[in-house]
Amino acid sequence: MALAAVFAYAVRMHILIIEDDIETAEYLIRGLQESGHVTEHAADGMAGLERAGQQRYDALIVDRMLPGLDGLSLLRQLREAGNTTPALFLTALADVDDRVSGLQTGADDYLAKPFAFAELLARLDAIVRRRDTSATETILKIADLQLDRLQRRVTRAGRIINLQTREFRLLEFLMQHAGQVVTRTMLLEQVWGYHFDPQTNVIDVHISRLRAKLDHDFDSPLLHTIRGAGYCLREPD
Amino acid sequence: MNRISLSRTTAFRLSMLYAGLFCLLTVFCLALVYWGTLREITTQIDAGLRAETDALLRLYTVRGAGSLRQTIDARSTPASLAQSDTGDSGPRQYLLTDATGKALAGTLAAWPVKADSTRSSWVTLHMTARGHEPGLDSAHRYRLRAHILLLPDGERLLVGQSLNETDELRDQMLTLMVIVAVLILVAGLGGGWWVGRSVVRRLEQVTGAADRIMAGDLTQRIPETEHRNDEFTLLAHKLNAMLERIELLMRNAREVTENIAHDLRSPLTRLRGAAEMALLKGDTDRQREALRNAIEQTDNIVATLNAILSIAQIESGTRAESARVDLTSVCHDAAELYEALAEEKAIHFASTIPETVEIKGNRQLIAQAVGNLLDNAIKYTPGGGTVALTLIADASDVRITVDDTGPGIPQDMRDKVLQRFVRLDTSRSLPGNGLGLSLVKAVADQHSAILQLDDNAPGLKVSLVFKREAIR
Repeated sequence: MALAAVFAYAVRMHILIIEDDIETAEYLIRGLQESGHVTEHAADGMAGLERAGQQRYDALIVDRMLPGLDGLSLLRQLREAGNTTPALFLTALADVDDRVSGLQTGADDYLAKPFAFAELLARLDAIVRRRDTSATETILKIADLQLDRLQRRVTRAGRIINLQTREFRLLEFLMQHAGQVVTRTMLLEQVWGYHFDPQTNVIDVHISRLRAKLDHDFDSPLLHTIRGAGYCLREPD
Repeated sequence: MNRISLSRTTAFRLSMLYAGLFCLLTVFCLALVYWGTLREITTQIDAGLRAETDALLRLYTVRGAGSLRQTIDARSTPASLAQSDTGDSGPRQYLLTDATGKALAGTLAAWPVKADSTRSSWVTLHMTARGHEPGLDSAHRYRLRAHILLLPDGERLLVGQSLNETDELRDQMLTLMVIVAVLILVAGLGGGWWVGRSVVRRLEQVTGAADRIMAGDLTQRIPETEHRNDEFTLLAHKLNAMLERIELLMRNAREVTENIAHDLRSPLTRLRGAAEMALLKGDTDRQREALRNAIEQTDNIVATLNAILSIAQIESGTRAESARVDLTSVCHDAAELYEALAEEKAIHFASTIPETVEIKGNRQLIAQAVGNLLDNAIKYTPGGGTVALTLIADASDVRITVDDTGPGIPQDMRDKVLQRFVRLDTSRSLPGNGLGLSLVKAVADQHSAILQLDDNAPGLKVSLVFKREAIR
């Protein structure tokens, strides 16, 4: 699988999949294992709750609709018991209200079925590693690129790069997730606050503008396009 | 069809209850009148009798027993008795006996009751006429109200009055009561039947229409009586409005289903073709290409499904959350997002967005609508053209306009493009599922806004017009 190579640098995670549909579960298990992760599977809500309570996982993938105990109740019970394991909801319902209720219950992210596997990997990576990077850091750095959140100033190799407000926020988000793959939908949601899919891929245009400012005059590019997945800001190899 | 039984209608039962109550009340009133009258008559009779006995007693005291006898004899002649029969009280009866009880004078032959020793007593006697009492047939049974006096020398004097007329009055009153009760009951029954029948008839129009609708004919309506503006007409009107809405929703649902079936068929065919190609292709590179194509087709299908579902959700109003929406920032965001896209296509992008324009609505939906309009405009405008986003707010309405210098839409096609899946670009060479404008239309409808398509000469000018009073 080509994606495995793309995400090869991602940390190895121990993931619990709580999903009743066997084929979807198998697809998830296979994909995650090929991407270098360790998986466990629970086929219904009660079994999932039990496992999640017994062992520490790096992430949970929870189907919204489960026999026995539905995903929302399961997560609510886990959170009430003090379990803070990052959780990603999978759902066949792609309603905005549904998203909101999922996130309010304590899900860290939300993905509608059917989804691209790259999207799932990117989002898992993001919710697991978000905890490591401090949100209070005022200066973000990667290689010779530096972003000062207080002065709203960006420099590369000491040279000031002028960015518009939205470009600054785009770069800020990419730097917060440096080394991770970030998908177009994630950018649209996090940087623009749009929870719908524009028909044209407007994000590509904004990325290429940003890239022109960041990488144009330099030998080693920082902002990479990951085919079939999204973008990644990372240190030159 | 289940017919409504008349006797079980509320109207009928209420009418019967009222009739019964009125009946009881009337009989009670008549009875009161009856008892009142009877008491009055009895009092008058007693007063008359007392006056007569007082007069006779005075005569006896002043002139002696002989004179009393003569007077009684004189009063007992049929002519005299007839004169004393004043109409509302019956003829008088007299009897004077000596101390042994032998009749001395009067209309009665013998003492009718056991003699007692009291000086003065009042009795009501049950008598049988013997034929010589004036105004009474032989063997006629009647009641006699009598005042009995024990005279100082041992004679007994009885002055009585027949209660015949009082009893007749009583009988008449009773007959009257029965007649009135029967009349009220009959009127109540008839009224109940009439009211019940008209209610049943009106209700059967409703149940009949409901039956026909349940049988599948959604166009059925309840007849509304124009000239009568009563509660039934109001009910029929409300129910009809509800049916109208249901029919519309049903039609929409059917349309959506038909459109899904129709419009998913082509991408599914392409998906199947791509998968089949992947099977057939020998070398892995071309196989990989075919599979990538299959995934792309799947994504298209999912996008179309999502668009259809959002439109259906917006149209059914289940996402009708309403809050203050800062249109200025919505437009700025959209302009900022799409300007880059226009620039890349070498399209001149202009935006005029005044400060602090707010309306009530759903931010995500309005943002999506504006996004779709800009997306369409940029998609159809050739390089070198112009796309402009304008926000105008005046006293009466707030207007978001997107105009372009693309090919535009011919006048006669403008209504058509708002329908789902309609694309003028029949070759479908540009990406999109033909749902963009339908979604904008649905958002407009949900915000009671008007979606206007005008000629931009050249190009298209699309305006979303929010009425200020409608959104407050």
